[in-house]
Amino acid sequence: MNIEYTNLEKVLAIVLACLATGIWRLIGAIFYNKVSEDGILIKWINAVAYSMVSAVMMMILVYPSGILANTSIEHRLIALGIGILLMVLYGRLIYAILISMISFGIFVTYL
Amino acid sequence: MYLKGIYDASNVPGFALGSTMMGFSIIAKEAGFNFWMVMLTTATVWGMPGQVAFAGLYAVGASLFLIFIAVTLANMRMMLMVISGANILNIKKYKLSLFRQVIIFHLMAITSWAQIGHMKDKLIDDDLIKYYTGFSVSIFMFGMTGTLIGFYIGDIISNEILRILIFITPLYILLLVVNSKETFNKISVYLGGLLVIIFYPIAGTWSILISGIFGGSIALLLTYKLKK
Repeated sequence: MNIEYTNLEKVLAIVLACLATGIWRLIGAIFYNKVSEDGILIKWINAVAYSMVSAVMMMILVYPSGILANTSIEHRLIALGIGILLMVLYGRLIYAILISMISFGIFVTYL
Repeated sequence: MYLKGIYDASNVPGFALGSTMMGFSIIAKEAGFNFWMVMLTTATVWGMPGQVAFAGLYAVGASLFLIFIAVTLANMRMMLMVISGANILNIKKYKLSLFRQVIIFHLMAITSWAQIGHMKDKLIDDDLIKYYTGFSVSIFMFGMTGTLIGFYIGDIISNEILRILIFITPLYILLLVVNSKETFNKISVYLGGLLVIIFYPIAGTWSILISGIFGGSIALLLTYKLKK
């Protein structure tokens, strides 16, 4: 699917994206001394946010558009799996990213 | 303390964020963003998952309403980061206007928030807010520079390198969220990632919202059931 946005829609899209993030910062600034960080509502919001972030990223990796779409899904997922495994085992973000990125580079270049 | 913040940001955090923003810039350019759209998005949204969601949905021609909803939900955690960050920085003490607070919190990205959490026991209140200012402004500059470089680097470097750079962004964010401290957030990450694979062919971009709500709710329920 490839839909062309008008210039007005492009500007509007950025304004909406800015508002969509700014709104949470503003709510946080207003309510930071009133909201309990341990309440069930906050926990649910947090869980949904984590789940959605993960969904967006997996959508990009599993159903990519553009240059990433020219690589195989197996290569993308195996490289991601390596990163997650290293992260779970050792908890070192930089090393996990580096090794996963290098693995992906090797897979897409030589396999 | 400002200088210490700048110095600390100029190491791994700054370069990691700069590379990530470079990746975002490449994704956004591929999605059809022009130079000003990319720079404005980084400067005004300043929240990677929301930015990537925006570019991802823009690329597939999603409605503005869906873009708004997806970015809103993807960056919902900002509220929690602001609440938590404000308490760590003891912002209340400074009696700042709401506008100044919004400016301070606009600079709060995952990296800055995690950094002040790490430094809170090492620095006292006044030093901590100075440190945060130096650190977060520097991180912002690294992010903007990465965005700028990323937009032009796409035309210079080969597709082989480009696809690796594009791969870094979702990888970085997934590895960051998978390392969450709370068990229910960890389960949410795995469920959200799995559910979107199932729902995307049926529901398209709405699968993000569906996977987020189902994944998060199931994870929370599951954690409470297991605790009982």
